[in-house]
Amino acid sequence: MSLGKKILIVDDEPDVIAYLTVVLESNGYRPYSANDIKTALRLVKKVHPDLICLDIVMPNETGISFYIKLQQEKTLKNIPVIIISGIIESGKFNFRSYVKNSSIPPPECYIEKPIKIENFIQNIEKLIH
Amino acid sequence: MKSKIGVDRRTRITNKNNRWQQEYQTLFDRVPCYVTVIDKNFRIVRANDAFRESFGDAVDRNCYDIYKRRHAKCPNCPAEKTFKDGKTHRSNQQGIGKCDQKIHYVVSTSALIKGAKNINYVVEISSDITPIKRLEEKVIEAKRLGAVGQTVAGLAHSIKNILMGLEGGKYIVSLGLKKNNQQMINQGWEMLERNFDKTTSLVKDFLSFSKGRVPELEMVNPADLVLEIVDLYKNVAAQSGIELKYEIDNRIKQAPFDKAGIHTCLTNLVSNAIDACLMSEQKGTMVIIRVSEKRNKLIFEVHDNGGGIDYEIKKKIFTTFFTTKGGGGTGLGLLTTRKIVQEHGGKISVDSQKGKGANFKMEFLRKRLMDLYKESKKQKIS
Repeated sequence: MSLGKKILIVDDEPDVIAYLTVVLESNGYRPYSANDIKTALRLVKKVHPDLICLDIVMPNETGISFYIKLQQEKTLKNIPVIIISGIIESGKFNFRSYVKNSSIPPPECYIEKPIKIENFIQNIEKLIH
Repeated sequence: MKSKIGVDRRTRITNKNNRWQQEYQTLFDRVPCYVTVIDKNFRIVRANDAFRESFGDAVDRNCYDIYKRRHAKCPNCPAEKTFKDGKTHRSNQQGIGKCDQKIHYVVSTSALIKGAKNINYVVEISSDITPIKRLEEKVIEAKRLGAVGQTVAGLAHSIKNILMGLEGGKYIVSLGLKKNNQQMINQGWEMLERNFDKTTSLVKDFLSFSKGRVPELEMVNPADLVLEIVDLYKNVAAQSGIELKYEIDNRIKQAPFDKAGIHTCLTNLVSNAIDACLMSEQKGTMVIIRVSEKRNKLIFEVHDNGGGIDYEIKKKIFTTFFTTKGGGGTGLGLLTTRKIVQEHGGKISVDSQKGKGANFKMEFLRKRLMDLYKESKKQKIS
């Protein structure tokens, strides 16, 4: 069902991008990547992905700031987001300690680095129908 | 009759004097600070109750003996200064109480008789600041633990990223083997190698950061320290199309530095500056290393005209495990640099705006460096 769906990877770490790209490609998805928020914003508007894999700790602008920007755009706010970060512990992340504004809903899913491929793919399947 | 009146009056005056004396004695004993009167030989001639309670019987003992259990007067003794100039002097001291407890106090010394030509007695009034010192120590400890927590969290984050790279390399190699795809095998293998190297760098940086060593100070020429770094980086900079310049104030005399420590600091700052230039889209990028001395302050500066640092990042760079270099950095370089600068009694700061380059400055007071140098020499001898 979800084969060929577009997934945008946003991470400043080239090896993470390379890894997720291969995993997604070998599972039938079409990955796109951005290593900073500026490029990510440009790509998300151009490609309009079906899902976004987003890192948090990045130079200049964090993944959280990108997420807030997405939520403020009518056409982009419904794209499901999976946060993939080293600061997540056992799948838990205190989103509200970063985003106080309660009108911004938390992202759909959190995954801790290093990822478990099966769990990663299952979560994507769940979010893209 | 006349004499009876005189006796009554004298009795009244004596009684009044006795009452005052009693009141002064009570005040002297109950005042909530230590009060002692010492003679020119630093011998205590009077001490109040508060003093006796904390330090024990004091009369006829020397103040340096009872306050600090020393055999000779203390260096920079404020009482000695008062004996000399008749003025009030203050200083912070640490003594030993009668139960061997540490007592921190602020002592103020003044002449017993104001304006006297020859000062024979000095009053020492000390306030016990031990509870404040303890509180300060607790705050420092809490900050230290907070910093440790942050460091551990930062370390965990870096390790998870490396693990992700290793997992990725392993996955791509095994997929390449399955598909018999040499390009994939190479890509995965390179990822594995890169992340093993990162592990080595992280461990090396972390060990150098966590070393709680005393700087090994020796007299060096600050200009030589700069020239060494220029020599080390001139090829790397030239290959990257970055101009590496230096500005040395030739009047600077030798100063005590930990050569290896300052070398590490300058290496970190210059490699950061080169990275900033490489990441910048600007043409004609350059890095300038400067050393100067202004008002007995030795200043090392590393300037670049790269991308600059924005306010949010500037807040974090010296305090947290922080990198803007993606996979290229461990986030420990500036933390280590700050630690080395502080071990020299110096300070580090950055002046930068996003898009306008950066200027990192390490400042060291020559006097402070000399004090540390003398102290380290004394320790070596003992």
